[in-house]
Amino acid sequence: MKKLLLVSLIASSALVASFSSAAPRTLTVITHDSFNLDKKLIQAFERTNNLRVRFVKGGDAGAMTNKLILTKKNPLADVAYGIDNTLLGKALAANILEPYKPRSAALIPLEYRLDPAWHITPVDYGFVALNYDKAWFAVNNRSLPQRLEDLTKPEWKGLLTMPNPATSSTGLAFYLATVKKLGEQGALNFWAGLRDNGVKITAGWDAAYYTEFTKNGGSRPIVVSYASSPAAEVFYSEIKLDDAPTANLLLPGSSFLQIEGVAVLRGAKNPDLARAFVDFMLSAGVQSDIPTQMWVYPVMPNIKLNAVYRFADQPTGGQISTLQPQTISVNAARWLENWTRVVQRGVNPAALPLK
Amino acid sequence: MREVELKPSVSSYALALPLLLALGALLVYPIALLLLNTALLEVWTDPYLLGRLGWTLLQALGSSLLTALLGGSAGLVFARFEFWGRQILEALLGLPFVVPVIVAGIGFLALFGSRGWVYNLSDTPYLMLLANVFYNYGIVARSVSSAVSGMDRDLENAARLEGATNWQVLRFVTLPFALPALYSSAGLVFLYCFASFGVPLLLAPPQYATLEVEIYAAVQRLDLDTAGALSAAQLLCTGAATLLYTGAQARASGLALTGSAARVPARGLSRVWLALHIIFALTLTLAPLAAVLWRSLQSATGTLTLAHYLTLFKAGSGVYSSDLALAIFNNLRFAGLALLIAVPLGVTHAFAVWQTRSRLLDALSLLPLMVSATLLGVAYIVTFSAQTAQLWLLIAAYALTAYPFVTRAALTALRSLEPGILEAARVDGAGGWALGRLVTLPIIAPALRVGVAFAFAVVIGEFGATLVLQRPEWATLTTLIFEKLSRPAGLGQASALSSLLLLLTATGFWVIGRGRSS
Repeated sequence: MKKLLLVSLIASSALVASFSSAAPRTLTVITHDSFNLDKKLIQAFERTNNLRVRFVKGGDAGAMTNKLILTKKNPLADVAYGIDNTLLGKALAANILEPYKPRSAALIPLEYRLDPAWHITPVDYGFVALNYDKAWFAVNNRSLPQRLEDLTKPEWKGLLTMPNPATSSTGLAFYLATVKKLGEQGALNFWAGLRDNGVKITAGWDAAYYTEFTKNGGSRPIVVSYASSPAAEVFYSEIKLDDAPTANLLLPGSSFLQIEGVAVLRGAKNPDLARAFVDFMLSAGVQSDIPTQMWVYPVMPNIKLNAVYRFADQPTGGQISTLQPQTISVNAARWLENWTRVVQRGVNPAALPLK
Repeated sequence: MREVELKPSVSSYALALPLLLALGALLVYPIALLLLNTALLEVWTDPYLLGRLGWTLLQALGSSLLTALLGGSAGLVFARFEFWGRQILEALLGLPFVVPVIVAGIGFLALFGSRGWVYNLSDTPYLMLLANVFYNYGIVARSVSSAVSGMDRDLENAARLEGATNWQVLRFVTLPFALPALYSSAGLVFLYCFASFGVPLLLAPPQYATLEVEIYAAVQRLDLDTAGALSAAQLLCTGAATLLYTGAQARASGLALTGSAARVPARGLSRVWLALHIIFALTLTLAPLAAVLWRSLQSATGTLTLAHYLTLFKAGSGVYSSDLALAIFNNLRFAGLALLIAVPLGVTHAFAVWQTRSRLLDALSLLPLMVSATLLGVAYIVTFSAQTAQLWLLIAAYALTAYPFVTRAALTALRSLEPGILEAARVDGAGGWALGRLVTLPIIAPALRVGVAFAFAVVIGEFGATLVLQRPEWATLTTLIFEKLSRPAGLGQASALSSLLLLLTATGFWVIGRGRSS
């Protein structure tokens, strides 16, 4: 009997040993291209869970979501990071996400919870916002617009550049802010006004920021970018700056709240590891690292921001616009079609089909 | 009887097999799978999309004609005259090819943007036309120069002795040598301009959007019906154009190449003519690149600095922040692996086309340039979803975009082989593959080098990189540039990286092109 006990003890400890030294499994994580986290955090996550993380870049958030929908029968990864509130409706309609309620779910403030059924867990949020070139306005002794509608007036003619909502998620978010603030018809009238006032549309954010914005040699002193961009300008500058060269232009309803999340993919080969990754994204280490890696704010409360964030005013209250994911997914195609007709083909907004 | 008499045998057709299999698996199969599930007739009834189709044809035709004229003229001049720095200039002409469109765009808009130093061309279609010439001028100039420098100068001298004027010599003696290379390169340029996506998206106002831009927009809204229909229309146009030009090229070929002729120093009026070409080539190719180099050396306050370069050596702490050494290593590794596949594949196929004289095989070799890259990307995701983030697929995609340059260059040179050389070899008992390897390869090598150089540039540049899903550990200089340009205050470093990319490419061109004169 004793012998048997001893044998089974040895056997079971051998079993435990073989388990703990088992070859690490591989967790495939797909993200948008703007993802980043400290290598040390990922290494610690790999050690704790005895796994290896394999990252796949899915393009920008919109392209990544499309790819996930196209491959839903044969998922590209176990877990996806970067689907936001503008894309979530599309992802939910295509049924590509597997619900998982993270362990620290209760700590996430209500205003950032994207889905009551937890198909997606919010990780961070940010604001698409107007930025302006401080030096340009000072040198030219010009006043700043006070409301969105001011941008359609002669006084601010030809000052704005922004990425195309049909090809850029940044551009889309700003368009959605105007739809929320001015209503569908009001927004189209506003855009017809912007068109006549010489708004410069580019394909992507990079072209607007680096070729048209006066800060980088262009001719437009106002650009659609992010509320964190002025802080990033200081952070990445090679010479030490005492002040940011750009600032946020926070008009009523002009900043769009974007909430990004992480989600287990339906049909994932390693759903247990994927769930561990969801919890990992809410851990204090990751949440503290997010602001200076991805230039967005952590959703978890009581995370200290890097001091450089003092250069970026955060939009508050009435300056913020946002829309429900379902509202966006149901209407986005019509809104974009109408935008293209008005801004790029010169159609009169009164002639367009509305809901 | 100028054409080499080689009876197309079964073995000649068998030479085409490797490429046909590769194309079938990596191109035809995924595209067909996707197109079979879409409604293909939509585009023919929508006046807006028909307008896009017409404009796409027009701008591609205009761009390639302009490039053929300017680049062809430069090729003739650079083949004829020796001048200080000629080899350097020829190497520089290929540089635009590797510059990501956003970087070239920054350079272009510095010169021709709304606050451009030269002239404001924004909101006109001319910026796109100019960018098309910028990107493709080198292909034509170098192909023509390489073809004409292989002709026997005695022919021209003989014609002059017979009393021919300079114009007659050019028209009846020199030009026939240049035409095959001119057709071949201009055809490539047409295909590039027709299906290009980055240049029109970035530099053309929306009313001048091309078909590929519409395909991109359709894919973004997951409207695969429209994307498929437009791609099918695009394939029809590019296919027809390819058949037309491979025919023209085949007819124009068949002039004897005897090796390389000595260049002469320019005298009198020729000096002015040569100087004009050099100045134009330098301005067109280098001005936008110089604007990028200038930015890489400029601090935020406008003073000269090396800070952007020095910062590159400090890799970020993030999993997606790749370091410079890895990016350069990857660039060279991917280029090397892709060329290992592309060069044998391209040369083998050129032999197959040459020996069988099959127009179909000839046209098929251009298939990767005829299909919409955006749609191919979607097809890859759907067909190879389990393999999309694997290295072999990335290398295969690179090789697929690179080999057409090898095939074009090899084919042009093969068609101008002097029949006597082959006959002599045949009498000596050489046959089949040995004939090709021992006799023809050394003769076509100079032209082949140009093709390989451009294939190298294609791999180093951004082409193909967007076809498959990327991994952070696959970072190249190009993806590093995109990384810097995706956040604020990245222009200086992106410009510094672009300058390094140009240096790497120029070095590659120099290494590959070395021995051209020997």
